[in-house]
Amino acid sequence: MNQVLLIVAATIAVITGVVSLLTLAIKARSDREARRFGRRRRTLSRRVDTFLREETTRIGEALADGVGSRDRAVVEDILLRGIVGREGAEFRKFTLAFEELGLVALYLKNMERKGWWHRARAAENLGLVRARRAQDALMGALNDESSEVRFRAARALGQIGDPAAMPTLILTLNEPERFSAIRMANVLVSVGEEINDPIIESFEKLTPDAKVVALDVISSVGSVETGPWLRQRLKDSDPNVRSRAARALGAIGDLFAGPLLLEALKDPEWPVRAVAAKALASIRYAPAVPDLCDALRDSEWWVRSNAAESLRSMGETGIAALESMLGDSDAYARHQAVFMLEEAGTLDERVGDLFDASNRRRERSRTFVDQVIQSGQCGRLSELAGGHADGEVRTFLAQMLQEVRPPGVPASD
Amino acid sequence: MIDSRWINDAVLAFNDFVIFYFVSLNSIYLMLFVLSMVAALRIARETFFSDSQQILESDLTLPISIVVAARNEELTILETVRSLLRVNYREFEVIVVSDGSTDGTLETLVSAYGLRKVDRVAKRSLETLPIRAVYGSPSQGNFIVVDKEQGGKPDALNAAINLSRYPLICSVDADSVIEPDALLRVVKPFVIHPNETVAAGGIVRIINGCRIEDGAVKNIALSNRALPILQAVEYLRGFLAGRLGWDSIQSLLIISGAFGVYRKETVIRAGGYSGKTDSEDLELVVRMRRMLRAEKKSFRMAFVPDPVCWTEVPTKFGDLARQRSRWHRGLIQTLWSERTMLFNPRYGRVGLFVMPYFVLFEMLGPFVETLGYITIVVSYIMGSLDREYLLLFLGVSVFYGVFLSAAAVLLEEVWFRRYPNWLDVLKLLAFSLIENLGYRQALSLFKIKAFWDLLLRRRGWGDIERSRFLPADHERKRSR
Repeated sequence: MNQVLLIVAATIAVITGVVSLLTLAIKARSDREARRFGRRRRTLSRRVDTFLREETTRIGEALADGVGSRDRAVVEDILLRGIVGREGAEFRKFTLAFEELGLVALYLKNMERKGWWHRARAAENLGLVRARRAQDALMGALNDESSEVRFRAARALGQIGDPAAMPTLILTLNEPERFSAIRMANVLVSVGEEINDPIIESFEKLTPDAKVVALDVISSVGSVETGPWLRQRLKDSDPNVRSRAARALGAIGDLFAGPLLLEALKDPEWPVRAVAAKALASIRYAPAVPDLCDALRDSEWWVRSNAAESLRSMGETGIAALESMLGDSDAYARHQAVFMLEEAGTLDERVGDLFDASNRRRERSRTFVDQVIQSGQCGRLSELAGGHADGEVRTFLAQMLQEVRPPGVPASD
Repeated sequence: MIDSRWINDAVLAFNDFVIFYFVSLNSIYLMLFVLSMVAALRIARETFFSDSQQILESDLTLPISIVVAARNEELTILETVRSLLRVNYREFEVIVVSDGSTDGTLETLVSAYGLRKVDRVAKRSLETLPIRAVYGSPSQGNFIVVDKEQGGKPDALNAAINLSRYPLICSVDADSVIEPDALLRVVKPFVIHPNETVAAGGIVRIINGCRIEDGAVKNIALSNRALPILQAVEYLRGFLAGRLGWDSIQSLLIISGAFGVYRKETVIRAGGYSGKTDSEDLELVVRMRRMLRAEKKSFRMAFVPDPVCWTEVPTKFGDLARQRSRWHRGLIQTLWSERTMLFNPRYGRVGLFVMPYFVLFEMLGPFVETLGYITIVVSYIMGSLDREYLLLFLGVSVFYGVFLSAAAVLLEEVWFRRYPNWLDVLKLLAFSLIENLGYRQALSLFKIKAFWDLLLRRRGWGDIERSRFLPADHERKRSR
């Protein structure tokens, strides 16, 4: 028994030595390969540039001494990096080079390989080359067992841009994995406004999660023509759909959505109310000011916060509304109002007016300071009482802070 | 010379037990290493396709509150905050809690960022000691600093959680720097499995020796001092050949407090960080596991080896001793407080395999190892030292350890290649051997001391000497 264990111990020692040598060998190899790759890349990049500049349509002529198997990877890397962002004749030359070197055929072959990463990489490259002849293979890959392959295939189809493939692409939003859905959404956004109609047509075939993503796609594309359809979605039974529709209406700037967004501001679900508050500011819907003031008293912090920010972004009317909320009976509403007035710089501005020559301004700022102290949120005022540039203001503020007893602030919400 | 048959028999029996124990322990390590290799291969293939940009741009990516508990960290806090504020992430906030700092931690931050007192209403979801003041930055709207009474790291983190606005919480140590894309990478499990993922952690690497500029690691290198290199090897083994393996069988028990992301709602439901143990990160993860299993919820805790958090490690033996003793105290306390999970089928493989492993090997291992050395000495004194046994013991405890450390370096070099310098790779390999000849044994003694501390009811963190993050050449000069 002991002899066996001794052999095991000796084996471990030998394996450890081998592992160490292997580590060093791998390091040496990867360093050498990186250096060689860099060297060949510099040489071959110049030749590829020559091919792109000259009249020739054959990359083989530019590469002169041909492409060996080791250099093929270098040329492929140069072409794959170079093709991104090319259009027109330049793009055409790249695709000719890919075809001539047999790379498109290789990618198509790789779409059949066992390892998912080979298929995913092949689909990715076929998308970059926008190889139309790969469309069938890519459509088939939308049902691949690997979500990575499915996503790369979908993206490739998006890059090829065939309208016939769009309905199928939209249905890929039904992917159960959220990450896949996120990535599919990006693919669809990159298609542009042409994606809106197919999404609207396929919307009811989507799962609840996919509907949310689809609305985000419409929101990101930002086409105002989708406004009427989005307004209908505000009445959807799913609160996630309602909130995403509200957000999209704000994002596309649908000026006719105001009244419906006001209704959404009273939605029973707080995420809808929170998003509606923000969307109302995005479309600058001035009649919403009183309702946004009401939303400052909402039981949810996000709704109050978004409503306050929306009021602030509505300019003078919104700021005036926030000031009017300083005397509100609701402590949370007062808190949001003070916070936002501090952020907007109004508090500093009013303090600066405490000894203004104009009676009206002086009175207004004293009332303002009084209300802020009453709200119980005196952090900035205390700071100004200690550090304002004007000594008279400092003394006055310190005195007011001592004299006016705040009613107290809530400890929690 | 002592000649007592029963002592001799007992020593021989114990010898056999020690050999069996180490063969079992190292076989588990080997199994974890193999699992790690497979997982690393999968991750390397997945990360070939970088999706960071899509996660960054997506509206569906959850916003994060980065929380930092800082006590007397004036030397490193600015670099940490700089690194946090420049992370590549769409929506995040940084909350630094100065936990009753008595040095210039708070003043350093106030002056560097022009902070001013702000009023922030917070929901007291978790009980904490009182907050003295909250400071906000006029130029960095997503940065706040909290000044609170000293209540320990867990209390500070709980205060930050109360003040946080976002659904994900990322805890980062105050002496650490995270890479710009680290958040995007560590959040990926939450994006892929949004309904199940409750926690995810990244790899922690050692900053000693690296050059830091403006909150970013500009040059990766190993320290010239022995102690940080020994810890570098240990961290590689622990993270790459350990946690990656545990993660691949969904059995992670720890997500490093230096860099971990949690779902806030789950943390709050579990009761937040607890000050009852000295290792709040381990305790929280185990408690969350217990709670979620009891609720029969499907959940995931993930380790992602790609996102890197660089952290400072002790450079003095005394500091290392205090740190490791504290970690081990935390382990013992956690295993004790969650003892109902032990061998309990209700908790699945964690209850039946992982927890027993942690008790038998991680918690009691230092005792067995040290007793192994003691029996060698006793056998020698008794004149019964068996040379074969000595070789066997060294083989299964030391050589196996060297092999596992060297294998972790191999894993690093094959998949991650963070150390570009040849000399650093050679250092790592050399220290894989050196680590097992004295350092590991010293760690066992520190861990045994943890039991002693617990018996004497000694608690607390102890102060670890901090140094400012310096350029690598500074460190070289310093170490000469």
